[in-house]
Amino acid sequence: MIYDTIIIGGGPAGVAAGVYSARKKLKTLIVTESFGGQSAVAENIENWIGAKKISGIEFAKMLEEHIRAQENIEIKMPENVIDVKEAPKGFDIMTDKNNSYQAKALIITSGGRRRRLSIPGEDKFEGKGVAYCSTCDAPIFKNKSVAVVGGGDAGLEAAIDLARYAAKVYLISNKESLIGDLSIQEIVKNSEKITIIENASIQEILGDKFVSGFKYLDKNDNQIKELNVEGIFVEIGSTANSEFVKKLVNTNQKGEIIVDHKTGATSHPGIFAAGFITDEIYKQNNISAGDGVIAALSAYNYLLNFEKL
Amino acid sequence: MKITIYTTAGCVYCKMAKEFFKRNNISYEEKDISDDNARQEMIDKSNQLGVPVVDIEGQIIVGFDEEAMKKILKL
Repeated sequence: MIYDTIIIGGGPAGVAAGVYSARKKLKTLIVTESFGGQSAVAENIENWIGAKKISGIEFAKMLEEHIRAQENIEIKMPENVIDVKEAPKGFDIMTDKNNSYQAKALIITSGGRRRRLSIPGEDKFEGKGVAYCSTCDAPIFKNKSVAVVGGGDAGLEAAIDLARYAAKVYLISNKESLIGDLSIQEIVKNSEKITIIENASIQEILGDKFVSGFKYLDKNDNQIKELNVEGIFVEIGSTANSEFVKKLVNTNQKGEIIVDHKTGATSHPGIFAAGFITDEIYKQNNISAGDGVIAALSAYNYLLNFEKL
Repeated sequence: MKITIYTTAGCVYCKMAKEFFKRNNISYEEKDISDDNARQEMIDKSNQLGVPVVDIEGQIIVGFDEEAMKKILKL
């Protein structure tokens, strides 16, 4: 069976695209790991238009309920797309469940994921001291020494979260100065527990069974230095989940899919993209939803002419 | 059936795990690992430092893994 459109991803962009595709009576399949996108783990969302304040879980549930209320839609979850190929009548997608599905048009909304350090020790010690969620895991490091890598807003907030529990927090920034919100910087700088180490590039995570420390390059004097910590929190932003489709569509340096923002069209006819994964400047849930609508309507128009192609 | 879940207050995946049990009408004991004993117990059981950890009759699941929990609970 060939679907009219397959939507890859279940965040606000994917769900918006799904609702609009279904209402256009397109035979639609959504393949996603989960619903809600990156905001599903947010403590609270206070800027989703129409809701004064909802938790990330409620947001995810709301999106899932809305998509499941549609007819003409099939959902495969949890399932991840690992490859996309051209096929005679459109596209073939392959998933991590060893399934393959076919569609005439694709809408890619697979969003982003946390950037990793990609240094020795990171994989080995993930969950054994290397952590990516300070609001989740800060209490584990009560009275211990920890490091936060990243001098942006997320790094600053993680350092503050951790300072409530840890004995000592090192905030490591590879820039010459912190870049996060100035008022939050002020809190960090005034904290007796937090030591800021700027111009430092983390090289390796050390340990035996659990993390015991890390090596970093001090770019001020070009020396490799070592610090003992039991936890390392990584807060260095996000990266686009576009690997599986990079050989078919144009992406920018950040791996974001380049789209025509009027239509959501990518460089490849029949493939549309929306939301965080695109080169959209403002990465916002509301904008992702709007982009998803644009992509779905463009896919619909593309399919109207499909038989003539 | 004895089920223990190790949590922290700010952990969304812990909330998801608890909701999963509630949805399936399964009772569980929650241990907040800001308590020193609970934290050590969690580390000893799971050999790692992340929450949630779910202990279902001695079978340890790290993280919110709905499929793994369903399998053990035969849901």
